[in-house]
Amino acid sequence: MHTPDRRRSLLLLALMATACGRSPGTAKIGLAYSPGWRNIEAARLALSDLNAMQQVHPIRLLLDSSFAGDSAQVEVRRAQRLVADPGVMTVIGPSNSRGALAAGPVYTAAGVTQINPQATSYLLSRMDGRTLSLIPDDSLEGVFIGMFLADSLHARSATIFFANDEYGIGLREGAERALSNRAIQVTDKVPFSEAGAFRVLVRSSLQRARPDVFVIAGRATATIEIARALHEVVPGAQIVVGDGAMVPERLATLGDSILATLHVVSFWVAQPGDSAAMAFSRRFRDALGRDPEPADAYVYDGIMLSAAAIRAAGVDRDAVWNWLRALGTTEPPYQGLTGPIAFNEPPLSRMVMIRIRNGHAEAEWRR
Amino acid sequence: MAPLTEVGAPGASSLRAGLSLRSLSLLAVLCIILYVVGLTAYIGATVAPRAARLRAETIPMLQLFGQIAQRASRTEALMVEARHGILNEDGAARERVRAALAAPAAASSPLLSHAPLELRELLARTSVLQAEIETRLNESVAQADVGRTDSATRALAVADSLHAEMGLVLVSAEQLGLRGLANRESQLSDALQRAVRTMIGWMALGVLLLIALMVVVHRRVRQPLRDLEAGLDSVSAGELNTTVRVRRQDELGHLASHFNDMTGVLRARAAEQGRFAAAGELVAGVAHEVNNPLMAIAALADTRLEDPTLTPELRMELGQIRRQARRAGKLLSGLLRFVRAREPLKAAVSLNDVVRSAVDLVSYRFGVEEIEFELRLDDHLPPARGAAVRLEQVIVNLLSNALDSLAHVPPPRSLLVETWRSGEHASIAVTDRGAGIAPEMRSRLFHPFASTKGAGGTGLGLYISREIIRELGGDLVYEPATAGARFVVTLPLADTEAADAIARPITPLPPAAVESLQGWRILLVDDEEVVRSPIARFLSRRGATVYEASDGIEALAALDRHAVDAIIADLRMPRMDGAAFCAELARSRPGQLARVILLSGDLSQLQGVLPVPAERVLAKPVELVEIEAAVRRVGMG
Repeated sequence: MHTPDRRRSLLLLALMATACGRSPGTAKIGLAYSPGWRNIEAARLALSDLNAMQQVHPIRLLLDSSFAGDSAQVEVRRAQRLVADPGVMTVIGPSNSRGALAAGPVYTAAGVTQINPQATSYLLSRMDGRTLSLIPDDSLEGVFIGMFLADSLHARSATIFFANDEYGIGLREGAERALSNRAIQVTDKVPFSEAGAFRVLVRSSLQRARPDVFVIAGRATATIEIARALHEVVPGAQIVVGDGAMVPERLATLGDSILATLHVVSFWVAQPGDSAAMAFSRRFRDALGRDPEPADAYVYDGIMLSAAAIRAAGVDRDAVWNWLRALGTTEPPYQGLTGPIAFNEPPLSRMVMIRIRNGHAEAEWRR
Repeated sequence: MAPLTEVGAPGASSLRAGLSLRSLSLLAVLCIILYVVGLTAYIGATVAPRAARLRAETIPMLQLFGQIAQRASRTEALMVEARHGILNEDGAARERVRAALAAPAAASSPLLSHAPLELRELLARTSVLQAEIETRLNESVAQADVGRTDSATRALAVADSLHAEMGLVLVSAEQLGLRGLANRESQLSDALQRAVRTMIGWMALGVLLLIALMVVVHRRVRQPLRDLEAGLDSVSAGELNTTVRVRRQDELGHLASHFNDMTGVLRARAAEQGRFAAAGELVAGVAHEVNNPLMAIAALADTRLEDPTLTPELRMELGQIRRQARRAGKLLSGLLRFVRAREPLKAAVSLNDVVRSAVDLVSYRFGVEEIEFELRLDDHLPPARGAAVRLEQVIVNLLSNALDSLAHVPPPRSLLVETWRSGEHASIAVTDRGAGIAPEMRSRLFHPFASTKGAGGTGLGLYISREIIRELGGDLVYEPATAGARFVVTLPLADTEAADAIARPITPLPPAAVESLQGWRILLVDDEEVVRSPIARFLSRRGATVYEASDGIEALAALDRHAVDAIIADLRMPRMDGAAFCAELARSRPGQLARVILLSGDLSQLQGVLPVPAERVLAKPVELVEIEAAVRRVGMG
């Protein structure tokens, strides 16, 4: 893979340098994302806030976008490059569960803490390594969906469409358990890929069963296609969507009739009473012209949390890991943009069911 | 004195200081622990991690391959089922495919986090392909459900193609995994070989350490022990002039020093006992030689006192001669018993008798040295368990010490000996008002060679005395007194049976009867005419017919010529002594042996083996009437 072209493209892009120069004691926070990373603006805001602080240890952000794509292979190589830099104390990312699972052992072996702001696979919590997730895993999300179906929609049956990958499968399993516990019948389970024949899948499924609610566990593109196909056959169908599709501007293309019955799981939404969240949203909107997504907020929190750990524990990978692990136990929870962050309890309370109205996310239901 | 013999190889005479044996042992144990820990740590640090790593990586990899094979097999089955359901329009088969795809097993993805790094990419690719195949199959089934057979067939073809690609990827993963395993196994094998080589080195080091340890043990332990053993053998063979070489100032060196001190004590004690034995022999010889004249003097005086014409003054003088001769004889008997007697180690003994005998032996000093002597004996004192003569020796020693101490103080000089009972013990105390014992001397009082008499004392008296008393089960202690010294001997009381069996001394024969010995024929055998004549004259005057012989041979000849009623024979005679004479009688004339009365100035020379019963043995000097009484008992018996 290390061809000259590749090497050229493998430049470690120190996109963002702090005002403190390049002294040997400089701590770095790695960012494991591919070119075109959607949440890079959140990282810029975090850097801006870091520079505004008085730093004990100079901290730099190191974005390795030398590999395109987000496959497991790419994430492993990206991880190997990042940990080779002794200044890297933590790494934020990658965005998908498969890549995070593949790269996790590389970070663990090097003593670097991997902070996941987006990956939700329940397998991440079973790796027994130095991986910390800021968000609930997909099985917990499934439980949350089950609760919503039972407590809010009072559904008696549901069909689950799921992306046939770690995310979709995890979400499906979690939802299936939760629905089963609430005596809600799962009438059909339909796997799909991002480039699937969604209408056919929907029709085939509807031939077999017509449930009260449809659950879609996939990314935005597939979710939009399936939702449209469902409304073509069953107008007004209640659809519950996992966080993977939480891209409000894209969901907004579904139109009001569909959005009226579309419920989306989100791990964060800026509340009007939350001044910090509102300020962050304002700054984000000013910079990018759109509302911040949950992933933006979590990337921001991941960077600021890493910086706090480095400030508290010093430029030492083990010390940083120990400090982060101690949050919520011997150390008080870190007060982030997305709420208090600790790693000693399932963050079920972080989830919120939203509706998309006028292109903006609005909280609809909390547990 | 014989020169001292040193046991042990000659060498440098100076003592070598060094680690004590205890420290040496600890050092050896430490070395062994370090050796074992080092060996274990080496194996733990080299082979064990590689083996553990190989195991840790192999087991998940095998599980992973098993899982992959299971999924591939399942995918293959799904492909077959889907093809059948689509091409044959079998709705049930399609439903089975759909159900299988939705089953939880289908959702299980390979555990990428546990896969080896080099396999992770391929496995991730496999997982993606698998998901894609399953999705395509699901779509294919769905197309068939809605009647789009062509689309279903195309989707099935895509799934087929993906399945073929997945097969190739799996083969590559398998080959890569096997190479990885082979590589790790090779590393483990290399590590094992290195470990074996190092182990051989460790073993060699261990052997060298063992040899060094054996050398040290040989030099520091075995040689000194061998010297000690040789020394003990030498001492047990009677060679008291033995010393053991002190090689080092360690525990065994101290032991050798103590051994040498001990043999020194034994040598001194043996010398003391040798002198004592020689003195005893001398006393015994002198006693015998003196007893005969004393016997003659007493007998002659007895004979003369038979004469009724003697003037009162002459009779008084002859009586005085007889009494003094008998007194001298009694003193000699005591001396002989003291130096020659053999006795059982523990018998019932009257401590009052022991005290009296001991006092008799030293009483001659009381008058000369102006000693005010007081004897307080418990008349009801039960017998103690002991040995009379050895106890007498102890009391004489204590009395002698007291008298020596009193000699250094001006009169009045008082000496007190008392006996009493205390519970199950009987005690004797010797108390003097002499110079006493200096405080600095008291702690060493019973140590060998500790003497307050300077060159005049051996320093063994009290030491030996206490050893004797302790051998008898008692103790000898010093009790400080306000003036002078007090030594107390304590002994356990004798058992009741043993007390009843106190050996009784040879009691004097009853006085002779007044009737004459008319008709008695008596053979008198003694080599000294001065003894023989007065006895013969006395017996003749008593009416007996007396035949005289000067030794055993003549006596046997006389017995050939005359029949006799009694035979009086001296024990010590030339040519054939009394014992040999008795033996010959026992052999040739057993009937005559019962008529023998033995006379002796030193009974101890018989060493306890009497040729005739004890009541027919008379110790010189003996009164003539006692001889007559003995003759009558023999004749009547």
